[in-house]
Amino acid sequence: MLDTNTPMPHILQVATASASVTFPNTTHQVSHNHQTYPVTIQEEDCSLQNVCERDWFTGQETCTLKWVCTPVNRTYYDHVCGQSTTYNALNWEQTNNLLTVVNGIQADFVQVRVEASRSVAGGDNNYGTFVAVLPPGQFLSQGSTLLESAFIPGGASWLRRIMSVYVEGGVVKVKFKHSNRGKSNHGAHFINYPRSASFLFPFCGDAVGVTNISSKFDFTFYISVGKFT
Amino acid sequence: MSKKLVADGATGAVAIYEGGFDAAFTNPLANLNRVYFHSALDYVGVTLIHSGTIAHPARTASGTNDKYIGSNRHPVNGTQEWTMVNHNLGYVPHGILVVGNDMMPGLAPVQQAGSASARYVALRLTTTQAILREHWYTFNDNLPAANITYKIYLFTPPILPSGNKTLHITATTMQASRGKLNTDLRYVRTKATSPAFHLISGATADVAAGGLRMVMPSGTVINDGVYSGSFAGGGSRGCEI
Repeated sequence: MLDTNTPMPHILQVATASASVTFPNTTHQVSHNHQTYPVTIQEEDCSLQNVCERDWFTGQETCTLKWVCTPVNRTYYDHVCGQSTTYNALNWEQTNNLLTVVNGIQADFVQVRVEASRSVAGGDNNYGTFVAVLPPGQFLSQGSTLLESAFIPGGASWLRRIMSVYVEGGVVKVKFKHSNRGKSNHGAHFINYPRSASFLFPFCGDAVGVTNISSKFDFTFYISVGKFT
Repeated sequence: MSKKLVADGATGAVAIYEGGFDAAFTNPLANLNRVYFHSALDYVGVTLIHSGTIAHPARTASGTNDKYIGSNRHPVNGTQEWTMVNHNLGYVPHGILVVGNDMMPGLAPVQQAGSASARYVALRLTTTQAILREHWYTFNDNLPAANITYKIYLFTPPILPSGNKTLHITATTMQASRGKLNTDLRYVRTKATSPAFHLISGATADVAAGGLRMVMPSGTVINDGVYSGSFAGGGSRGCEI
């Protein structure tokens, strides 16, 4: 039942603490490209003309104004503007102190439940708002918790955000870490300028703004920190 | 070195400590390195152990191709919950979720397919229930159905003394410090080999180059194929009841 040679864990301190984090946006570049496609369309040119017609029975000629249309081929130009967004790679972290252990004791373990909410949701121009996997209410959060993920087409990881609660130097801390690699969204966001009479292409401005990848989370931590003795 | 057992009938305090260091009895927190046991310490007890198997259904990849890269599927995701146990403890307990030999950190993957399709789980706790929550993603690959067995340990809160027994020992039980220590409760102790679970002090994951690596206390490594760092895991200690 009790063996003095086998250390037993005991709780040194129970506390509730809060922390917030705003994961940053990353820098980006927007590039534009365009293509022009000639399109030949058969149209009609119409005009009012004095048209004279002879009556075959009486031989009498009668002239009246009528619309006369003549088929004509015309060439127009379809201009297509494309926008590509390149997100630059970013690694970032933030550490908050949650609790100083009583007597400055070097604690051996920490038990954590957390309540979390996301008040600002980042996203990217490929798949929109990042999916956050946070459950409602309190959930176990020992060690590290995955907060957000985003992926490139096909599913390889592009962006990860995690939170780790740990004990270091007699202090319970939380570290938020972000990492994304660089990527370009290919072939996104087209603008069409169809049927322009001019071969000259228009100004290819931004079709859409670049989605901000920044997200903000708020956390309440329910902490028990302890030691083996 | 000698070990000294002291029971104080006036205060109800009971301790076993290193002989010659009586300060370990009067001020245990300042002398933990001399203490083997002290009734003033709030030992971690397990109030409930529950094991259950969840039949996670298959999750299929989208039938719609990616809007921009037609050779890839558009990603889909969803959630589902199962009540693992109605514990009805009346408080929200701390606990541990175990799969196999692995203590699961918050939102850990339990199944992966291809480069990105995955199932993540978390244990939600209320004053009455322990609820398993699944969050799944699929990209190009379906997630086949999976039966996964989860084991849950729920811990006691710090126990308040009651009654009038300073030290009471029978053939099968020991109570000390007015019930604050009671061997009828399932206390946790260390076990280095084949532990039932781990109590941890450090991180269990890292991110780099846009990727993720998880290292469970058991040593199991989960890599997403993109992570390029060198994370080897955080501090932990194996335990049993």
